[in-house]
Order: sequence, then structure tokens, then C-alpha cells
Amino acid sequence: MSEQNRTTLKDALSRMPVYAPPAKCWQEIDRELDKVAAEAPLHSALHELPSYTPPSMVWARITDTLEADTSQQQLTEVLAKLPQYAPPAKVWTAIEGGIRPPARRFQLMMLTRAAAAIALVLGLWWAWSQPDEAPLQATYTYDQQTTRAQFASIEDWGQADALMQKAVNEFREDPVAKQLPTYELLLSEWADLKDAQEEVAKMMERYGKDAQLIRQMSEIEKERSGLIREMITQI
Amino acid sequence: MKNWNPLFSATRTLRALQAGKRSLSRLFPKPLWIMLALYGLSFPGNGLMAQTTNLHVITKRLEKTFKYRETYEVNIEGEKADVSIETWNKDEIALTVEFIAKHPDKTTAEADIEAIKYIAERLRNKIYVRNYISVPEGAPKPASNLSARYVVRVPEDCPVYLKNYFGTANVINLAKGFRYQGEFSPVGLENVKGSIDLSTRFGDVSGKRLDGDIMINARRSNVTLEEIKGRYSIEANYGDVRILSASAGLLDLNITGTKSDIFLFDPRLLDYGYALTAQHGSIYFPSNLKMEFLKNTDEIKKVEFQPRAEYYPNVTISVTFGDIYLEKEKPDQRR
Repeated sequence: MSEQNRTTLKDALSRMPVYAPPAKCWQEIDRELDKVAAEAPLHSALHELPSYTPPSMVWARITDTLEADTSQQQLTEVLAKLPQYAPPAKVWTAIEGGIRPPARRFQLMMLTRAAAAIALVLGLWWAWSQPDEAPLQATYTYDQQTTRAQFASIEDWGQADALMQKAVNEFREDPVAKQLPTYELLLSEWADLKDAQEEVAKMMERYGKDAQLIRQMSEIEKERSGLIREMITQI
Repeated sequence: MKNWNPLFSATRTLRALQAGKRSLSRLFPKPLWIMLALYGLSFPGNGLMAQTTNLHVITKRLEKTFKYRETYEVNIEGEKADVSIETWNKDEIALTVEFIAKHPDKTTAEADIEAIKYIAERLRNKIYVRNYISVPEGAPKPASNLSARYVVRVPEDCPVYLKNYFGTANVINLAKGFRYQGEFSPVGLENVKGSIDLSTRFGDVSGKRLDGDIMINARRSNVTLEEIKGRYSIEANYGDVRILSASAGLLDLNITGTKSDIFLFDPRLLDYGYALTAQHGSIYFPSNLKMEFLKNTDEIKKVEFQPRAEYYPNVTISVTFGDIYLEKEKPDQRR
């Protein structure tokens, strides 16, 4: 489409005022851009930081503290909303009439304070002498045991890993197996057992091999074998 | 860890054998590696040598007692620990923890036992107990066999939450509640009441005289329950569920299973209402239990039964790739 009043439009445009931003705007933009560039390695490093799961007691402590803070806040809010009442003047008159001479009041105050102090000291002594928990005591006993088992030498569970994995790969790609209702289940079962085997192996590394761990590893290995047999009958 | 009771695995073994028979003819043309694979899948243990070794066994024993107050809860986080939870009549929570290190070299065992760290403290109304291994950076890993043993005595009303990773757990006589999260750690409960919530992976559950609201989530673990009372919600994956007997106080029994066989043994099977579903599985029940088949195809079987009584416990069982068995007598009672 062509502009009919092109000259007029051009003329009007040329008469329009031109604004330039103050220099500090550009400086600010520059600084922001520099900041982003400077922080880029920090951002990428953030993703590489290891993550740690705190023990459950830490979360419980945080939850407890949060709950306590919330309760305190709720209490403060509710207290602020409470209506205020002023008693009639005659009540104050009656109270003033009932107040004893200052000397006796002073004595009474002193006595009350002394009693409170004694009660506090007694209370602290009682609490101190009756602790909520007894201190931790450690004792050591030494014994000797003879064993016939050489668990360190039993590490034959990984021997057929490569063959097993090959069977799983065949099963995974097999068009007939893919039609089975158990196809996904069997594969997830395989992954489960692999994870379990790794967990037991890690435990052996940390706590040493013992009969229980060897047995657990054997059971997983038996299940894996059964699973492989089930898979290869389907391909 | 599953205990591989022959009774549990009988059905699965049979199924596997049947599958094996079906496939024998198909096996021969398979490539050589499959045969090798089958051959190579022998059980570990061949390397077990008949040599004797003298081990130094060092036991570090720690004891701690807390005053008990009604709102308290005990939280235990055990690792490679055999945990025993008992009740007593004192208003106290008593912990006895033993760490054990075994190694042919005494100095090594002595050093390694200190790698097991221990926490036992009260934070508000929770008493936390935890053991774990911690080695300073750069220091060698422990070379000894390490394990832990807990004996925890609590008043029967004290709720307990136990997390156990590789080990065992035994709980008796708790009256208010018990929560359990275990992995590779079988758990046994006897006479436990109240709110019971168990989650286990690779750790069998056995329970006797449990009563209350019971939730069990078992993965790759067998569940065996006896003299059950209250309400049960059980989810089992890759593990069998066996209810050996029910008591008069049974209210509801809901079981969902995947690749699991479910067994219910009880002489009073006719007293309960049933809604049973088996996908890719079968349902077996005594002939005098007049079940109505709502669906009966190869893929799905669904039956229902309602007794004549006005009030009765409801038994709802759904399994996928598993079978349901209702029988009057336990296997050891049959002759």
C-alpha cells in the first residue's frame, strides 16, 4: 500500500522532538550487564554444588520452631484483638479504700519477694537435682570368636552381569516381548533389583561383609536370575 | 529382606517351573549366550572357604535413660542395627545400645568401633536416637565388620517411630502406635495396638495379635499376620501376603497386590463379606463359600459374597499378576 500524503508525514516526523536518555541510564545498564556476566560462573557453579539431605531430626527441629513461632504470633494477634474494658469509678474508690498503709505494704512486698526468691532457689535446686535424662555411659568389652567363613573371598555375584544385561537388552528390544502385559513390570523389576544390589554392595563396603549381607545379596541374585529366566522365555 | 519361606515361594516357583516347561522347546534355538547366562547364574557362596579365623570382638555399650512424659515420642534411626523395642511399667525411656566391631586385628577393631557415631537426645517432645558411620576426610574406611544392637524400653503408651536400614526389628506390647520405615530389614511385631503404619522394602513383616488401624506398604517383602483385629489396609508389591488367622475383632481387611499371591486362612470364612478381584490371576476358595462371579474371563476374575449376618467384616482383595487363596486351614494344619 502506498502513502498518499507521504511528504506531509515525512515533514511531521522530521519536526518531532528527539529525546536522549541521561548518561547515567546507560551506565546503570552497563553495570547490570557486567554484574550478570560476573555472576555467570557463580550461577553455573551453583548447579554443580553437591546436595545433602539433613537427618530427619533437623527437619523436626525446624518444624517445631516454626510451629512455636506461629503459635506465639497467633497469641499476639488474638491478644491485640481482645476488647478493653474500663471499670466504673466507684470500683477504683473501693480499691483505694482497701489499700493498706504504705509501711505495711512495703513489708509485705519485701516478704513476698523473699518468699519468691526462696521458692525460685528451691525450684532450681529441685530441677537441677532431678535431670530429665541421665548422662551417657560407655563401657567396652573384649572377646574373641573363631569363624570358618571367609566372607572377603565371596564376591561372585557380579560374574554373570554382562550376560544378564545382554538378556535384558534383548528382551527390551524384542517385538513379541513388547506386547506382553508384564513387559514394563519385568523391566522395572530388573531396575529395582539392580538398585538393591548396589545398595547391598555399598553396605558391605561400609560395614564389612557378614553372613546377613551375603545372604541378602544371594537372595537378590536369585531373584535376578529368576527374572532373567522369565525374560528369556518370552523372547 | 525376604526370608524365602518355601511356603511363600511355592506358587511362584511352580509358576516359574511351568513357564520353564513351556519354554524348553523354545530355548534350544536360542543363541549360546542365553545358555551360558542360565549356566552362569549360580548362587554366590562358592568362594566360602573352610578356613578358620580368630576375630577380636569389641563391644561398646552405651546406656541412657530419659524421664517419660505423656506427649513424648521415640524416634529411632538405625543403620545395620538389630532393634528390639519392649515395654515396661516405669515412667522412663531406657536405651541400651551396643556397637560391635569384629576384626582379626584388635587395634583395627578398636579404631573402627569409634567410627560408629551415636546420637541420643531429647528435642522438645521427641527423643531421637540414631547411629551412623562417620570417618574423617582422608581417613581410611573401617575394615572391621560393624553392627549395632538396640534395646529400647518404653512405657506402653509411648509412640515409637523406627527407621531401619539393613538390620532387624522386633516390637512387642506397644499400645498406642508404631510407625516403621524399613529397608532390607525384616520386622516382627507382637501384641501391638493403636495406629500402626509400616512401610518396608526388602524386609519381611510378621505380625501377631495386632489391633487398631493398620497400614502396611510392602515392596519385595512377604507379609505374614496372625490373629488379626481391627482395620487393615495392605499394599504389597512383589511379595506374598499371608493372613494365618483372624480374631473376633476384625473390622475390615483391604489388600492390594501386584505380582503377589494373597492367602487368607480362617475357619470362619463364611462369616465375612468378600469382594475379590484378580487380574491375570486366579481366585481359589472352598466350595461351600457360594461366591457370585461378576466377571470370569482369562484376563480378570471378580467375585463377591455377603454373609447373612447384619454386621460382618469386609474382605476386599485386588491382585494383578497374582492369585487369591481362601482356605479354612493353615498349611501346617492340613493332613
